[in-house]
Parts: sequence; C-alpha cells; structure tokens
Amino acid sequence: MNLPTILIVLVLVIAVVLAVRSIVKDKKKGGCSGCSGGCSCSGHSHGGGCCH
Amino acid sequence: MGMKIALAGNPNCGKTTLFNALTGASQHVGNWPGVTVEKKEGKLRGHGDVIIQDLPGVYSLSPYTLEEVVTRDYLVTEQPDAILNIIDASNLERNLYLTTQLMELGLPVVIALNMMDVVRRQGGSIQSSALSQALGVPVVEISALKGENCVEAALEAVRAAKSRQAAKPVTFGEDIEHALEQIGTQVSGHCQPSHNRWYAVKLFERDARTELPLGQMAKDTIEAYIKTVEDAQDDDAESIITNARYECAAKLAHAAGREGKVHKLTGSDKIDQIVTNRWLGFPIFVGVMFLVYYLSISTVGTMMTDWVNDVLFGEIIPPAVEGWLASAATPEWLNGLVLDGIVAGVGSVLGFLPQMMVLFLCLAFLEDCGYMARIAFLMDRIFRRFGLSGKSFIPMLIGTGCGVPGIMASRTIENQRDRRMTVITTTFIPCSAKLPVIALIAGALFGGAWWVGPSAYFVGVAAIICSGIILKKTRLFVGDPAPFVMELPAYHWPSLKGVLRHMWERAVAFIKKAGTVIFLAVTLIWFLQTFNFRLEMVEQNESILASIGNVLAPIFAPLGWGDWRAAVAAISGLIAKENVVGTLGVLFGFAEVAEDGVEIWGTMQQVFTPVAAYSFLVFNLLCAPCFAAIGAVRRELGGKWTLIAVGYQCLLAYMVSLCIYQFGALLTGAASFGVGTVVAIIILVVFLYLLFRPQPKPESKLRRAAVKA
Amino acid sequence: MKSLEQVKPGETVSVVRLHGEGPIKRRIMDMGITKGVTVFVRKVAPLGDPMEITVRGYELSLRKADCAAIEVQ
Repeated sequence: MNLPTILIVLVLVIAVVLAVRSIVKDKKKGGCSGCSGGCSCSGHSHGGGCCH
Repeated sequence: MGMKIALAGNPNCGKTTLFNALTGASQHVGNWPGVTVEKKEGKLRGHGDVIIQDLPGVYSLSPYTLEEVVTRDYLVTEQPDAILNIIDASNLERNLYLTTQLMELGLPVVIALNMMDVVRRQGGSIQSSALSQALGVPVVEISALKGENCVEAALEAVRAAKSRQAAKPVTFGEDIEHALEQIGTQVSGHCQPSHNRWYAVKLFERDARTELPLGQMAKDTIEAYIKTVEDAQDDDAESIITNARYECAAKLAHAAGREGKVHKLTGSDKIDQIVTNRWLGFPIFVGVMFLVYYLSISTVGTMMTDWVNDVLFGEIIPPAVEGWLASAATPEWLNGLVLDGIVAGVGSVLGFLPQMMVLFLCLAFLEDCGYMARIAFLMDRIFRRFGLSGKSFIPMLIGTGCGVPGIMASRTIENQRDRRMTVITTTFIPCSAKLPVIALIAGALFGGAWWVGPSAYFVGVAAIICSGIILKKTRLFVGDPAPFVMELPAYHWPSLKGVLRHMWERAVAFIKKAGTVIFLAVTLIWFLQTFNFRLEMVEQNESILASIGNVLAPIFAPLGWGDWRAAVAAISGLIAKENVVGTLGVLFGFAEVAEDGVEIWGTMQQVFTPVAAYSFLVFNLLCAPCFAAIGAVRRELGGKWTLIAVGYQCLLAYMVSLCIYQFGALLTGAASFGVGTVVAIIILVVFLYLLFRPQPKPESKLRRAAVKA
Repeated sequence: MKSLEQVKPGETVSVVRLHGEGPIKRRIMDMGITKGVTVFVRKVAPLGDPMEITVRGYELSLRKADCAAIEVQ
C-alpha cells in the first residue's frame, strides 16, 4: 500500500460520501434524485406550478 | 366567535392560489379547471378565529355536476357568514354569471377581482368602483399570485359578515320578475326568508334538485306562471333565466368599463391553421418529433458522441489514467476500480452528453415557443377515442424530459381513474435518461441507423395509446372522458438566452447525476463483477454478479438477450435509466484500450443480434421506471396501485419485447419456428383481442349527466 | 339551419338557438353561449374536433358534438 494508493482511495471515499450526501439532500427536497430531466416543470404549464 | 368565509369562483380564476395565500397551506395549482373537488378549510393568516372554506371551482350552480351540487348544498344548508367571490378579471362576463347566482343566496358577498395584470397586459381596464356600485357589493382588487391584498379582501369579507348585510340579487326582465314574485309568495313559509329569492328562481327553472314541501295546488300555480313566461319568450324556463343572467353580466361588465374585443385572427392563429389543420396537423407532429430525435441521436449528437467515445474515452483518458496508475505502482484492484469501474461506467454515460444536450435544446425550443400546447390539443381527439382527455397528454409531454414532474403533473386531472391511467402510462415515453440507452443501441448495434431513435419515441406513444385502450375496457378504468377546456398560448419566438439556459440547466443536472448516482452504481457493479463470494479477484464470469445474473438471465432468453450481463444491465436501470449504459460499459469493458482497434462497443455486437438489441431497447423503454419515478408514482397513487402499475409496465415490456424478438428473429432467419414463436403468436392474439373488443357499458353516475363543454 | 360546427376559422357568427336539452345544453349556456351572443371561431383541430372559439371575451374549446347543437347565423 504505497502513498498514491492511499491518496486515491481517500479521494474515492470522499467522492462516495459526497455523492451519497448529495442524493440524500435531493431526496429531501423533492425526491427527484437528480433526475436529469431538469425538474420543476420544464413543461409549458404556464401557471401550472408543480412539486409540493 | 368564529367566522366562516367561503371562497367561491370559476375554476382557474386563482381561487386555490388565493386559498394558499390566505391560509398558508401549500397546494398544487393547475392551469386546468376542476383541480379541487374536495372541500378544503384553513385558518386565515393572522386571524385564527376566521375560517376560510374553499369550495370547488364552478361555472354555475346548476344541479348537474358534483362540484356544483357540493357548492350549492354547502352555501344553502351550512350558510357561511360571507362569500368571498373570486373573479378572473380577464374573463369578466363568465365570472359575473356565477356572481349573479351567489348573490341570490341571502348571504353577504364580497368580490375579489383577480388577474388585473392580465387585463392590463391585454390593454384593457376595469373600474372596480363602478363595478362595486353596479353590483351593490364591495370589490377588492387582488393579485393572488403575488399575494397582494389577499388578506385585505378576506377581512373585507369578515366586515361584510359582521354587518350581516345580505347581497341584493340582480333583477331580471319585467315578466320574469313578475313570475318570480308570484312564485315567491307560494314559497314563503316553506323556507327561511333569506332564501326566498333563491328558491323562487330554482322553482322557476324547474331545478331537478330542489324540493320544497309544496302542495299540489301550489305546484300547479307555479307551473302556470312559468308557462306564461315560456310562451311569451318562446324558450324554456332554464334557458330564459340563463339568458337573463348573462344579460345582467354583460351589463355589469359594461358598467365596469370592459369593452368587447375586436375579433380577428392573430399571427398565432394563422400558424395554427396549418399546424392544427385537419390534414397537416398529425403529419407535422410526427415530423417534428421525428426531427427532434433524429437530430439528437443520429446527426449532430452522433458526431460529438463518437468523438467523445472513440477519442476522449478511447485514446485519451483510459491510456492516460492507465499510465498514471502504472507509474504510481498502485495495486491491481485499485487500477481495476478506477479504470474498469469508474472510468468505464461513468465515461460511457457521459459520452452521451452531447446527444442529450441536443435533445434538451430541441425540447426547450418546442416548449418555449408554444408548440407543445398544440400537441395536447391535437391529441385530445385521439385520446378521447379511447376514453382519455387531452389533459392526460400533458404529463407525457413533460415526461420527455423527466418522468417525475410528468407524474406529478397528473394531479391536475380530476377524474380519479383517468389520473391513475395517466400516471401508469406516462413513463412509457422515453425520458431523457433513456436517451443514452437509445443512442447506444442505435449507434453500437444499428450502425447509427436513422430510424432507431425516433422509433423509440413512437413506440412509447403507441404503448400509451394501446394501454389506454386496453385499460379503459377493463372494469377498473371504465368511465366517461373528462371535459377538456384548454387555452392555447400565443406562439412566440423563444428567447435564445432562455432556451440555452434550460439546456444548460438540464445538462448540469445530468452531469451531476452521472457524478453521483451513476458513479455509485457503477462502483457497486464493478465490485460485484470483480470479486466472487470469497472476495477474491476473479474473471467476470465467476463473479458475484455473474452468479446472480445467471439466475436471472434465463428469464430474458425468450427475448433474445439471455446473457447475464444484459439482464443485470436492465435491472440496474431501476436505479437510473442511464445505468443500463453504465453497467454495460463496465461489463463490456468500455475503457479497455483495444490493441487491434476494435470499436469500443464491438464486444456487444457479439452478444446482441440487431433484433435482440431492439428487443432489449424496447424492454428498457417500457419496463418500470427508475426508483425516483416509482417513488413519485407511489406519492400519487399509494402503495397498492404502485404495485399494479409497476407490474403492468414490466409485463407489457416483457410481452412486447418477446414478440419483437420472436417475430423479428423469424423474419430475419435468425431463428426458426418454435415454442417461442407460438408463445409470441398467442400473446399477439390476446393483445389484439384486448385492443379491439367492444367497450363495456360505463357505470351510471351523476357524473354521466355532467357535460363536456 | 347552420350549426357552429360548420363555421370556418376566422368567421364571426351569432347564436340563434340552442338545441338539445338537459345538462349538456345547460353546460354550454353556463359557459356563455346563449341566444344572441357573438362567437368568433379561432381554430379547429384536425378532424374538426375540438373547435376553439372566442365568446364573451375569452377562449373556449368545444367538442364537435356540442357545436352541432348550436344554431348560428
């Protein structure tokens, strides 16, 4: 286990933690865990507010 | 002492928005009529002793629809202390028509004049003081959306309630008034005095839901009076009153300064003459969607994706990363994780970013220019054929971006069964997350054929239509289609800034998803395909994932893709549809630098024949959506129906894919007539039967008498 | 008798009479289509259904079947 290995593993672990936190935060906000469609009604529904 | 203020008004006049502004509850606001069918209550902000009662949006107080009956029963029997009547100023006459009826109930009435900004934008104006004088009740200008003056309006209603001054009903023409007076004398004594006028009018209209304990003689006298007026005006009593009310409404609107608009076709209308034209409308729609998917997947998109895949992830990144790791002398497993797991998995998905951006660009353009609304208008006719209204199409339009807001948009459909059906079928339309899957199949296994991408979209549409037809014929969904009233906004050139901004937002969201959800998922997949149950590093075929996969793979063999890697990929789509690509990327060695220059996705061609590939594509398109979408379904429909929905989707996906493969393989000579073919034929026959059998009779309900206008 | 469904986009007509009876007729009248009112036909979907009209200052979509019951001139 040399230094680069430890560093890389550390970086990966941090990345995982950040990823999980980001998903949990999204779940709380609206449940669209980063739906790549761009939530919040990209639909033309003028006045058709959504979420909540 | 608690006060009760009832909120009444037309559907879509901002009543729900006002209710939220007054009570602080958060609610869904729709652009279509009839969102609220239940009654809602709340305490007025800052005045806890005042209760605001939200009533269903109604155009009138006729006895024919559930909303109207609920509203009038409440107003007559429970008698709130005052009515706060919200009026959409941009639609004055029709709203005042209801007002004339509310003023007959013997209750204090206050008008909240909403949407004045729309009026001003249209170049009109309304003198609320003149209106107030003409009506004899207070008029308060509000903006429900901006929250201006809302509480003031409510407090005005409280003041009116405390004064106990009932609104004075409008007066009709002389002969009507004469008859009403006479009927009034018959009625008095049988109801409370403040309701005299209300009942007199209702009896005159021969209202089907008004019952007073009148003797036969009284009834005959009343009938005679009605007949007199009917003969004089050559019309039936109900129409006479309705006409008279609208005459009043028109006079009131005129008094308020609202002039009639000049009728002329606008530029938008002229465009619509072509776009919604009876012969050109559908072909144009098909052509437009075709173009959207063709552009995204086959042309611009492909060029860029090819570069990203072949160059960026073929020649640049993997060798570079491999180089670094080698020089860092990192252990084998770490190299594997980084290269074969993360770079392969995430890279394969990111490779499709260019195509997704093109798709986002096209969709943003279509939405912003107003064309999407026309599609709903067009589809209403088709949809009504099998019992849905065009309203059900809106969620599907939204679903081309992401299924979650599409599912939530179904809240505006008031018919419970239609709503369920819409939620279940919305995810058949390919969402943007499915685009990488489509693009992958189109690119890697069909050599970038032009028809694969658009066909995916239309398969989705066909699935929705057929599901609609079939489901409507089962007992669970039968019923009348809901009325469809929709306003089409004018066309306008979308601002370049706006469209680019939309595109950018969605692209960023996609990248973020790749960096989080997909990153985690492919890491897991890599782990499971690298180690066996004893946590030793092994060949892919002996890994944990292979063990699990091999159990599941046979299920999919009749569909043409019984390889365990395909099965695992499809299932990983539950986490996020992009994962299908990510997983395939890991399992098929996306990042491996091939020494002999074999194309990156070449290994896949050995596992999937074109027919099997298409079957795989269709399966992933139609089967259950990602967990996020399933969660949204659960929020809308509840647990039991969610299971039914997911079950139906997977079943449909399985059946359709099976038929595609079996018939396709037979046709292309890849397989011969066998058990599989027989099964496929049986499925096809059953499917056709369900599609074409006669419609069972819908139940008879009050709703059936309700009308589509 | 000319009915509303026969009217082309861009034309303005006035309502002469409403045929039919019961809830459907009432609904159409509730929306403002009464004897003598002016109606402007904005657009018509393919297959003639629905029609979009302007009446009393606002826009309304009506189904073909309903339009057939409205006599105009």
